[in-house]
Amino acid sequence: MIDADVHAVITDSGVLAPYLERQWVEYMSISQFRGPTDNSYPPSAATSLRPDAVGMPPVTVTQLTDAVFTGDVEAAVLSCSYAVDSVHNPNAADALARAVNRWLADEWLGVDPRLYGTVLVTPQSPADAVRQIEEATGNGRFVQVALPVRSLSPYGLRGYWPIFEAAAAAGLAVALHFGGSPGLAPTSTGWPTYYAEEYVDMASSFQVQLASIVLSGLFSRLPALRLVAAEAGTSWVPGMTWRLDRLWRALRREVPWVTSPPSEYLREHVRFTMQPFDAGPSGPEPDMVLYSSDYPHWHGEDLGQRWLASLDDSGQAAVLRGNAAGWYGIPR
Amino acid sequence: MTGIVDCDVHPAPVSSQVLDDFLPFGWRDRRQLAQYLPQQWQRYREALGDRSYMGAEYPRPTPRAARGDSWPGNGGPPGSDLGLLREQLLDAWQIDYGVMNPLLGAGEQLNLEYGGALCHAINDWQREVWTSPEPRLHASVCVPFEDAGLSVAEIRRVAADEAFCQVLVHCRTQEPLGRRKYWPIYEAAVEYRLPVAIHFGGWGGHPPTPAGFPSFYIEDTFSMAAAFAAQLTSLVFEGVLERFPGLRFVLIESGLTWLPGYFARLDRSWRLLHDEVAHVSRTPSEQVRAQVAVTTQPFDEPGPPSRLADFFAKLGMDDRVLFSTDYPHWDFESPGHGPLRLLDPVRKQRIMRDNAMEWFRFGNRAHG
Repeated sequence: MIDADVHAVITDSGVLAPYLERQWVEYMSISQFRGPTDNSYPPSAATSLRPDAVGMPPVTVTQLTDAVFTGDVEAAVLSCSYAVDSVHNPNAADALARAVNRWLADEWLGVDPRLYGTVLVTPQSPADAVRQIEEATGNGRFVQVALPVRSLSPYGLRGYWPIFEAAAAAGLAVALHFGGSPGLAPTSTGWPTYYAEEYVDMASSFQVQLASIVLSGLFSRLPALRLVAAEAGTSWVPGMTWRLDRLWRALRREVPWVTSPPSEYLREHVRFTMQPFDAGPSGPEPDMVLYSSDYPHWHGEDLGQRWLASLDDSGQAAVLRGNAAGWYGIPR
Repeated sequence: MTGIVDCDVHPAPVSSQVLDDFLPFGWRDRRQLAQYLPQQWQRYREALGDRSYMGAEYPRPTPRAARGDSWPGNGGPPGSDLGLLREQLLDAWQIDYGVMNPLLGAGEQLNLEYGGALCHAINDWQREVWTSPEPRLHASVCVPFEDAGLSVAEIRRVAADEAFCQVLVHCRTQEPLGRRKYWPIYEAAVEYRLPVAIHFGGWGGHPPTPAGFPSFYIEDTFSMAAAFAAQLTSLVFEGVLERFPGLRFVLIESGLTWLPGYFARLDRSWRLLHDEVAHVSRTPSEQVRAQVAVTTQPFDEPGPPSRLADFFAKLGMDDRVLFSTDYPHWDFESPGHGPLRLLDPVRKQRIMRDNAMEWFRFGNRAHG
């Protein structure tokens, strides 16, 4: 089995000090800047932490591997959602992103060969993001780049294309990941009161990002591009594709470079991590889903496991291993 | 079929000067003042009047987003001529009741007082130019919804008139519609037993998508469903639907195929994160199904027609789906075409007529 979504968490930016140039250690020390604050996973929200994850975060390598590598799990894709996208000093954001990637490589991927890495980038500075990808992939243990699904602009905009080009050139998947702190309201109608609203509405951010990417024509430019919608749920996928296909049929003169219904591009280029599982009784198509635990986050009663158990053998094999092995190029 | 109710018809003034005649006293007074002071009021409306958020140009697929054949001979825009509207819509399709949703930007004026004056003018104009000569048409109470006080005053001014069948706000607001600043509008709507219609569009100053400004109109219109979803999430989790049990909403031009998946996620998230929103006691999708209706156009078809019955079963809103054409817009849906004509007769009767008759209490509208 491959677990496509597990997390290293930084609660004390001190862990990055060995990976930061002296200038940035001083910068953080003088300002008492403790690293970006990100409330995508509020510390006490029911979805942030498994009930058995006592004393966390931080998560240590041992805690994580003990919890994740149970049963048949033989590989896991690790990411760190450190909110460098919220740091407006571009040099500081770049330094922090590179430090996180080195920390991941040294203290996680280097310690346990079953872990595969996700490159943290600064989407607000695409040129820096390209260098962050190039630097990290020298290590050989990174299999994807993560972009927080909330961003300043939709990722189909040309300014972001170099990030996708660099990822595709390095053979990496690109994950759109739950969360992000770009400074804009999380809905197009402003800032909601409750985290519960942000959590529900995150599905909308995934939809507009995927619509933007497919309508931009990026998939025609990068036919090998592989996307992952991480922690997106799948409840919204049928409604989204009906709506987008229908609009494309009516309005496709505006985007003549999109020559097939958008749903066809999405089916070819996008996969979804299993947790948090939010689909109704019929569930998603097994070919589209990558098994994930989302450790150490929590999703209550395990509808995902129940859905998995309802699949036939080939469906289960695809979700548990085959889909991710192909998507990430993880060897047996 | 006959006796249809169309819940989304868009009237327009023949020219921008038309509304001037309907501006309320304060603003009319300024115009009169302008006769003495150098044209202050005309200058305001002509040079500054319609000041809203700027910088989001997404050209539509047709001029004024209208059907090519809907331009009347009066020199005005589509929807500005009652004769043509009767011919192309009410008479052509035997529509008994039509609900007008004037989209004239009044609610998103940066100058709230001017927005209120414009709503006042639009409401009087609807009455005099449309509903008085044509009783099949019903009006919406336009309100400057970013200012609850002005909005309530406007509701009180006109709502007793049975020509008005709902209060109209737009989908993209400054804040999510569940926030407390909007609650006085809901109290007034409940008092007058009017549903609150949330119509596609508007702009509250945030980018049109939760990920910023998209490139294309197709994205602008696609992402409106996200704004509707955010509004429902807000109305549920703020406890508005529970707090005002008599309050009803209508989603207009929201599409509806996104709703079943949205309900699954909404209910699941409510269970997971219940501690934070412990004041929400009833299952969110049940609340929405009880207090929210949704119009059919643009019908974002859920796959082939054979799946239609299955889709409506999943939606679980058979008595809450209201037919609409969106006349005179480019994506007009006629009652005689499109997949809805394939519905079974019982469901079709409900959607094309009965649901709206009950929702708006047409023919049975004693207030209070």
